[in-house]
Amino acid sequence: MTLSQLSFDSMRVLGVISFVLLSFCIFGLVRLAVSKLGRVFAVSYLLFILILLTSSFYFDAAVNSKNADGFLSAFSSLFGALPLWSFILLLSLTAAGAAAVTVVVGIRIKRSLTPASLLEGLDEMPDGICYSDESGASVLMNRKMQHIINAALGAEFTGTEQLKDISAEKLCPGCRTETKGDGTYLILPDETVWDMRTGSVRYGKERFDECIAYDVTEQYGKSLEMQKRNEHMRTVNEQIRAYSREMDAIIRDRELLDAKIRIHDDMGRALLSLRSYLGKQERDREALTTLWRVTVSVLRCETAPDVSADRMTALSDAAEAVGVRLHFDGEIPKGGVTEKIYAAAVRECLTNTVKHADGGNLYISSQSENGCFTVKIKNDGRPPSKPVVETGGLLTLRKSVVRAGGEMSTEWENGFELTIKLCL
Amino acid sequence: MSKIRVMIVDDQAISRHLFELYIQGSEKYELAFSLSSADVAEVYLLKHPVDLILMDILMNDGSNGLDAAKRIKERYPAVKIIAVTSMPEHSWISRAKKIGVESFWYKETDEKTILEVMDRTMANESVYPNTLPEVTLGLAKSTEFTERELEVLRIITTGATNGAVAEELGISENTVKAHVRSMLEKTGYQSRTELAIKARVIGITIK
Repeated sequence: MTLSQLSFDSMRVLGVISFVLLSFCIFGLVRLAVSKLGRVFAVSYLLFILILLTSSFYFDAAVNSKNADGFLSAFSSLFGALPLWSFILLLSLTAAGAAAVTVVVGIRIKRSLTPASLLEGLDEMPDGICYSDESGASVLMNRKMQHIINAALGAEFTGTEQLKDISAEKLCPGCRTETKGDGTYLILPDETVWDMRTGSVRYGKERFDECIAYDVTEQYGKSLEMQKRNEHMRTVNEQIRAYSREMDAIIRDRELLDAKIRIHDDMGRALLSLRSYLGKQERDREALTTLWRVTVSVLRCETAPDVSADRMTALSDAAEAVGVRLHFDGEIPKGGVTEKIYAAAVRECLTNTVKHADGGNLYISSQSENGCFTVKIKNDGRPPSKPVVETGGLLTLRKSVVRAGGEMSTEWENGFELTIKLCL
Repeated sequence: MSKIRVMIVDDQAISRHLFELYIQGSEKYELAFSLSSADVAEVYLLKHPVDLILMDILMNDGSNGLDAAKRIKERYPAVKIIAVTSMPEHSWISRAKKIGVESFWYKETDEKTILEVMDRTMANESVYPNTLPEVTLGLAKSTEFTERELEVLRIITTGATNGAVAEELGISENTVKAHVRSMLEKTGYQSRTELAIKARVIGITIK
């Protein structure tokens, strides 16, 4: 039996089936066009559509007794001559093929990265992203960035130009910015912290401005915590340093006490020796005499202040002992690295005056200006015959000065002169 | 036979006076100079010969006897030096040996007298204590600490952070923390601060 021999009812049913399948294929083709997948599927759909369109057209014409014109009329007249079983087979194959292509296309669409899926992915990201073209208009932006801009500026995001408003701090109440290093942090009213980083990317010949907002709330909180802890540690360490400075004085007092205890013990031994004084040998008597002399003289000088404890006084006394007079002009530093280096410099120059220059006077002038301390030392002895090569004490002195962040220079032509500058 | 010329360097008047009297009471020795600062000791040697120096280590004016001993040994190697101290700071003995200081005497705890040490030193003998004075730090004795722990403790007593200690010793910060933890466990002290202060007071470490 051929198609043309079918009853009208049967033709209507087959026509409806063809029409439904046709709609299905057209829908599939449209979806394929949107997803921009392979041409193979498009060709398949088109073939199915052609077959189904032709069969729909034939049945419509047959049922409505129309005279068909045009391309399809020739094609559809072929349908009439088809045996029923071959048409059923063709229709089944077409339906199966359309279904298979639709499933494969569906899987491909699901697995492929389409613009929609890209945007969906970006919207799921915890960080804000946006791209703008050269005119500043937004071309791609995710939900998070929209939220950030909205919360910071109270406006919809239109482009990276708006980021200038963040830098200029035209922010909503409760928002603020903080600059640390090379980053700008935006802090929103909900206490979230965003690290705003801008840059540019090239895509083909076009350039796009990029802005990414990283959620650094946790790191920011931890860095504040670390800052507080460091501050606390600095305070504690400063207290230890201060205590340590006090401890020097306390320990010296303890040494003094220990020495006194020893003298006390010596006195005790002296008293014990006294018991055996009479009729004893010369040696015991001599030891006893020494002990008593120590005890008595210590008790006498116990309350006398130790005037030679001052560094410069000690240096002046030492200089006199070797035939050199020290002349101080200007401030003499007290305590710290400056005093230590100052004393070392005077001592070194004094040594050189005696050993090399055979001088009788050493002139030390110093001043403080703009937070820097400068000392110049020269002697009245023989000038060096050639440039001074720094060895031994001078080299050690230079190392100390450099370590303290200072500068040291020497001149020799008009007599040796040492200059040290410390800015602590 | 000429007497042995002795220089005393000690910032404490009582200690200086004691040494002076011992020397003056001896026929073998004569007092050359008695100074209160280590900084100036070598200056006197420029023009005045000295055979033996009794050098205190920790000075009032911030100068350090071992630093002065090092400079003197470099310029005047023939001068013999006896380092004297009452502090149990453990690193001073090894430093003194390294510098070439002939002898070392603990003022308070050494069983030998200073005159005996002087005699042996001038007889070209090197006299060093066999053991360090043992002091107690909290629940621990000073001999219970390792060398490294004492190095860490010495720097901590200056108020340095763990990072600064690590940098100075060339170790990691975690290693520093481990040493501090170990010392706290040994001493029973509650905090790093308490450990640093007590160590400094006792003088087990001095920087």
